[in-house]
Amino acid sequence: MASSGGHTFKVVLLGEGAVGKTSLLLRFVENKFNDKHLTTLQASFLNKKMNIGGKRVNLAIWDTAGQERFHALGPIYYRDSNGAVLVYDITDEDSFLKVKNWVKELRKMLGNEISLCIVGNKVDLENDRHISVQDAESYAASVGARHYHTSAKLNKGIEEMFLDLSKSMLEQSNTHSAASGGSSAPGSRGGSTRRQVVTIVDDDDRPERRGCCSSS
Amino acid sequence: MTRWVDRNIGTCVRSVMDALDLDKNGREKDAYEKYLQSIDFSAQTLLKDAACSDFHICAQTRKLVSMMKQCVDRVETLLGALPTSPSSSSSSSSSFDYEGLPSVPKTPPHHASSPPPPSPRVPISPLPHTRKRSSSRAQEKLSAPMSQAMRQNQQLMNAYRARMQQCHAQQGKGSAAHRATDLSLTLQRRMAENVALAKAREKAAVFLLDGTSDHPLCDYIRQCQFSAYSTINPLLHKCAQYYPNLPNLDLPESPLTSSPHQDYNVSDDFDDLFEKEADEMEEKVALMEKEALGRHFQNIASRIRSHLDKIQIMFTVAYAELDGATGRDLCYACVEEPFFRPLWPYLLALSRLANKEKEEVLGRMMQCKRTEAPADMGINPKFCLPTPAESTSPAALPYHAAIEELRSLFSLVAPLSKLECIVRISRQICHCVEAYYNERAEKAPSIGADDLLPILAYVVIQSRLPQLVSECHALEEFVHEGYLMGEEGYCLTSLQTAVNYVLSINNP
Repeated sequence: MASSGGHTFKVVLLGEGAVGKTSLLLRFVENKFNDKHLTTLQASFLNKKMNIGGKRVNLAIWDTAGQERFHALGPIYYRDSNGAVLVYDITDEDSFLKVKNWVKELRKMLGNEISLCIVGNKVDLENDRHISVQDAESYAASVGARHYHTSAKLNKGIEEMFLDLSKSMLEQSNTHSAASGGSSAPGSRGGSTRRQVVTIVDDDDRPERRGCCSSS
Repeated sequence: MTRWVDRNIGTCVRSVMDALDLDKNGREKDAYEKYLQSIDFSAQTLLKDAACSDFHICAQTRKLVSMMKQCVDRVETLLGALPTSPSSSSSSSSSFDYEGLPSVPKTPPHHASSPPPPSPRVPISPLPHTRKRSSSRAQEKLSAPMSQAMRQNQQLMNAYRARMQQCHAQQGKGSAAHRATDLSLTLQRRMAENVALAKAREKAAVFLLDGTSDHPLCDYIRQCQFSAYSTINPLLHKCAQYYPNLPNLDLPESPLTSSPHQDYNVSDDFDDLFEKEADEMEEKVALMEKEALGRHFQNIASRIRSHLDKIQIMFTVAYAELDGATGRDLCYACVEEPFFRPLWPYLLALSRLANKEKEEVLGRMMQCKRTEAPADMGINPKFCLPTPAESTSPAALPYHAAIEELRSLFSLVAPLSKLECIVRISRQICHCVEAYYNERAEKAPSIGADDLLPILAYVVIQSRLPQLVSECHALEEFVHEGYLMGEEGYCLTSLQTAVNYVLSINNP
């Protein structure tokens, strides 16, 4: 219940079924925290506190279902997101195509305010690589996203990716709140966002959030 | 298998006979005790029996219950004969003695930085249109802010000790001492904060919940409630004219009170409802009506949200101690339950009207998918917990605990407590998996969203309560934004997605 100052950012985790989202998330938690503190739900939802240049940042990471049958139902997960981590498997071309789809959807729904990270996972399987590093990086640059190479198995690149994402979201929020005069209010229960959310999304956004998703 | 009632009824009867003997011989005190023991034993028997037989009522069950009732009657009479002492009734929760009874703090005082004053017992809201029942958790939340603060402080204390030990174990010499002071200061500050908040909250709660109070804040809350009520009620009446055969709107919990082992026929409610609209013209009108209802609902919701914001602001103006992040949260949590308790049935009714087509579809899907096992729902084989062979009772279904948790959602009246319930549903799913794997001494696989959603969809179907669509819709409108980003928001979104998924199976 203790109040925690600083920013809370919502990050959605997207990726096809077998790309290793869950392992990535578990790696990210296990590194910093003792196993005992994990609640069982933390393979799908996770709160993680970070310190970025002396600023306290709280990440609320939302895992999403990657199966095709849930795809059309995804948009209610994305709303009000500050960042997205889009994971593909470097040995699986389809999973990279899926990432491209999600990027389009996210940009359409949330514009340029959302910070995107495209993550090529399983770099431990370099020999089986199907997506060339150059293709992936140039695609990421073309949509204004950063690209990372990770391996959940070897615990490579994950911490760094989340750190960079947090920095980028902080910058985004600073430019935005400078423009709108908003500020972050501290809160509790993982909800230190009450006012912050308001600065990002106007109230008349409400009807839209149901309508905009069915057009594809 | 002998049932618990059959096994124990002899002992129960004997125990009551003993009590009667004592009673006859004028040994009131002993008789009083013996009666209570008999009630206790009978209640435990019933409880165990209910758990094993899945609420299958038999003649013995009724016999036991009526025997308990007679015992209670005797106990009540005896109570008059026994000598009374003013301070011994602190744990009674009858509705007529709530004024001025001190409640005993449960934690020893040395855990807090200052000794707590006795907290006054707070009555349940006698606001207009109040229903008598209320969730006990919420009651606890409201009745003893101070003892809650004490509990929190105790937790803080424990955490502090653990950290201190770590600190000593690590021994960074100079830095360890520095860190220790740091920790101790943080602890003191947070404990003091907790106590100050609890005091403010207590003061506020007394005013808020005493419906007879003419405190301006209380008055204002009633005004807000009335304004919402007077918008919704005419709407409902108007709708009742258009759809004379509405499903039982005002009884959201009715399927819960009926015995759960009977199949709830989900489509019954709706059959006659839609006969009326066969005509094409009427269909058009109905569509427009529905859209209008949706808009009405949104308008009402946004007005209620702004009312709640105003109430919260007024509280922080009146009680400066509450003006902080935690204070505002606590204040909101306190106001919300009494505010929504009288209104929720109306709000839900309106939401059900706006969502009746969806409810119908969900009902149909529940009906035709209800016999499907987890494997048929596309759940990862790792999480297809087996049903014990030859057992057909719902208690044996995989993820039964989560299903029951979901069904309990409908008996709660405030968005926050519903939200907590929804978090528990997802947790129960994880617990079920853990328990299953622990039993076989294997490490439970972790559940990511890929696995959680299909399981949730299965749980939704097994709940057999199509009004879940309307509940979710209403919740989404009334849950404060601040809760939507955390675990609560995640679980609500997942449940909604599961419901939408079940709805979408309909159109291949």
